[in-house]
Amino acid sequence: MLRMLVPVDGSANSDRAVKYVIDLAKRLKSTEVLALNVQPAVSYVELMLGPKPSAVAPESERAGRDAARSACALLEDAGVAYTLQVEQGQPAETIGAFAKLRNCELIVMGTRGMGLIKTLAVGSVATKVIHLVDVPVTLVK
Amino acid sequence: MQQLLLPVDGSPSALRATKFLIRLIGGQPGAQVLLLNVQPAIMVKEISVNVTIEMTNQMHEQAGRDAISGAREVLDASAASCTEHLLVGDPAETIARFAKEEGVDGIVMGTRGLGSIKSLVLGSVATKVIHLVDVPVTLVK
Repeated sequence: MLRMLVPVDGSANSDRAVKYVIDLAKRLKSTEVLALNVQPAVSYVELMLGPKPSAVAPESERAGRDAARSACALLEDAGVAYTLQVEQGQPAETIGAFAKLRNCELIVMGTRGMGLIKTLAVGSVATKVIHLVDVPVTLVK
Repeated sequence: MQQLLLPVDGSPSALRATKFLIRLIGGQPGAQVLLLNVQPAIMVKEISVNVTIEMTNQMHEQAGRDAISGAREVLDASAASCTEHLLVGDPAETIARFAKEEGVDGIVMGTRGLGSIKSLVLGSVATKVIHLVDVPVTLVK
């Protein structure tokens, strides 16, 4: 059993990462797929000062599900079982913490997500995630 | 048939990459591992004017064999089918060129090789390889 985490944000890059996960899930047969969308924290001040909210705000949950729609469609069309989680916070830190919390053994990421400088070989989120986690990370272009 | 490239340098990180690659293959029949070591070219003049081409070839070959031996043992103990490739040149460029020539489906490599500063998250070879290739690269710490 290989538990994989794929952070998704609706970008073409994240869809390619999802396709890689689908391919791996089909070949290995014994895998568990966790899709994660990270929504920004409500405000910076809130993030710095406020206690960590116990639940994701409903509007963020909705935005997260919207952002994950293409990834979910790909997984469903391929018949690969998955669970989707929406979290709030800084993208890389949240991905890293989630991977640890759920004992993920592999993180599959697009190298360049939405809003990042296109010319970078590896996006800043991916670079930071690699820094934060000890498990293998697959970078998909 | 799935072909995965495994560049190794004899480091603990490369050995962990080897073990993870075996998990990624998951006993699929027909998966092919291309085990690769790239030796930086020895400059003959740096050593002695008396060193012949044959001698440097031998040194490269011996260093290459030493570097892959650990990974080879791990692969032999698994069901994975593997071929050995010893090349000389700039590590990252040679890995990328070889990956393209062989048309591999992915690369699995350690993030910190022997030659890089230990505190770096991403070894310079891994960083350069990610930049140079289009196939998914799995980085193992």
